[in-house]
Order: sequence, then structure tokens, then C-alpha cells
Amino acid sequence: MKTRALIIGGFHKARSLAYLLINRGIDVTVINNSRENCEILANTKNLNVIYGDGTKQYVLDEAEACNVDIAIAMSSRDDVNLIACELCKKLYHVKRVVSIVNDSRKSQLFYDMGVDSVVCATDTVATIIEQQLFLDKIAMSVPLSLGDVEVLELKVTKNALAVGKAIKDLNLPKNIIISYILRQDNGIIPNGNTIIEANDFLIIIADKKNSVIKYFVEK
Amino acid sequence: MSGIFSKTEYIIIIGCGRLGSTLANDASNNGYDVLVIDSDEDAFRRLHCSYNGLTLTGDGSDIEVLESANISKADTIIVVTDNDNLNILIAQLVNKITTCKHIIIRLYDQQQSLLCDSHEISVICPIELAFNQINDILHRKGDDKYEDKSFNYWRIS
Repeated sequence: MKTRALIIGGFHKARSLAYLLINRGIDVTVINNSRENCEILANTKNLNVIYGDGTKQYVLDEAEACNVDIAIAMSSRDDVNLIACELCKKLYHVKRVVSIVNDSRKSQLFYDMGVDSVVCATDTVATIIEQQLFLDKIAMSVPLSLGDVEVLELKVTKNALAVGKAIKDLNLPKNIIISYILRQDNGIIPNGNTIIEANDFLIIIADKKNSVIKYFVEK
Repeated sequence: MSGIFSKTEYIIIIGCGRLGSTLANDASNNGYDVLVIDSDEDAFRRLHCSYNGLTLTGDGSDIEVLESANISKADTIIVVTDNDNLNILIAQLVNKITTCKHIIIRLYDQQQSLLCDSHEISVICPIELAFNQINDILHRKGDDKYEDKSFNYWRIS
């Protein structure tokens, strides 16, 4: 049977997500409490749209929440998201319930109330913007949900400390692993004897990003 | 005159609407420590001029606001904003961050009360109360045809 997803609230975010999910072959239903937004959403191909308040049982009944595999709460209000998620979990026993939370300090409450996964949109956006502002030497950094671990992608500059040296001679701190090197379209899984060259792209797993930069990027 | 608050000492009321302000005035009149939180400063105009409790302007679902209200010291917390979803969120949040045994919330929609299954949270539903009262009045008039009807009879589910 086709996987069914239910998106509660949200407009732009909901529309983008619905589009991605539909392309994955998932049957998507969105609930929105603005008639105007519903009419726009209804123009999306293969998208089921329900006009109503996603925290009301009769609306969730209409959306057949009991037959849904994934429910995602995307409204801009934390209370609406929490109640919608709780109803999906406790009343309709949806297997996987995901919610956006605006106030990151409420994330724990969401987990405590049975939400499977909580995404703090404002924090995520702020982190990305912070990276763009100050860490332009790092091409990309992905914070993982487990503690302070990050996956970084960076390009080794010409006069960096590490250029021409083997990884084992760099005396890297213990909390850093160079997991992959991309050198002119060739991928290398590095070991201690691998020599770092200028313009290498490194994929690094580290827990403190600032201690990494100095080895691979000149000041 | 004794008010409705007899055992507790520090009472926090979240939402200063008609119900919140009535409760706050009563608690204050009877000499209890009371603090009312509302995001709209104008809402405090509903408080009586003799009200001598505290007011706090802010979002009652904000952990920092709740902490500055000294929420962990509260003996009773009453959540009566005009938004059911917000009331449930606040009650569940307060239930997590404090050991308060008396959290009372008002829900307009009786159906949502299934989300408040915790022992510490009591739900009051104005429609249910009004229904019971109307039923009582009709009952008192000796009209037998209302006898066996309870509020449950009218539930949609």
C-alpha cells in the first residue's frame, strides 16, 4: 500500500514538503485553516487538501488520520503543533509524528508528549545564516542531533598547514576524523599515510569546528 | 467571607480575561498571594482597584516568563487563556517543569480533554457546567422528561 503522509498547518513550508513527498510517490494530504491558502494548495497535482483546524478531531477524521503513516505539524504556532501531534499519536496512533517547533526550549516538551521527531526551524535557519556569515571557509556544515557532533565540508587552501603532509603527522586532535577526500573528482578514503594536497575537498566529522579550520585553511 | 481558595497560598493565574480576573480578584480579596500573567497589559484593567496581587505581562507559554513568575513555588496554577490549544500546552509544560499538584485548565472543547490525562491536571469545561446547571434547573421544576439525560449523551464521539 502507498505510504500516506498528513501535513497539518503551514503554507509555504507545507507546499514545498508536499511537493517533495509526492515526488517520492507518497500519498499526501494537507490540512490548512485558511480558505485562500487551501485554494492555492489545491492547484498542486495529486495533493489532497482539507480546509479546517488540524487540532479538531472532526477535521482529522475527515483527513483519515487513522490510516496515516506519517503526520507532520508545520504551523507557526507551537500550541497548534503540539495538540495536533498529540491527537495523531494518542487518538489515531500514527506511527511517526514529526513537528516543527518555534521556541527551541519547548523541544523537550514535544518529545516528552510522544512526538517522534522535533525540528526547530528558527534555530536551524539561524545556524545556517551564522555559518554563511562567519564560516565562509567551510563549504558546508551539518549539525547532527546527537550532541555537538558536526559534519563539515571544507576546501584545503594553498598555503595551509596540512598541505604536503601525511594525516598521521598532523597531530590532529582526537575528536576529528577525516572521513573522505575528494581530489579532482576522485574519492579517497584516507588513512594515516594519505597526504593532503591543496584544493582537496575534505569531509570531516568533528565535535568542535573551530579547532579544525586552522589545519586546512590558512589565516 | 471565605473565598474559593482555602488551602493554597501562592496562586498563579495565566490569562486575565473574565474568568482569570474574577479568580484573581477573589484570591486577592481573601488574602492569598496571587500573580496573574497575560500577554496584553490592558487585560489587567479587569482587575479590581483593591486587587493587591502581582501582574506579569508576557507570554504564559514562555518558559522564561513562567520562571520569572516563580512557577516552582506555586501551590495552584490556573490556566484560563481563551485558546484551548494554548491552555493544554501550558498545562503540560508546567506539569513537566514543576511539581505543582493542582493545575486547573479551562477548555471550551470538551473533546480535547482526552489530552490531559495526567493526575495533576484538572479540566473544567464551561459547556458541561452550563449544561448541568440547566439540567438542574429544569429538574428542580419537576419536569421528568429531562431526568436521565447527562452531558455524555450529547457528546459527538
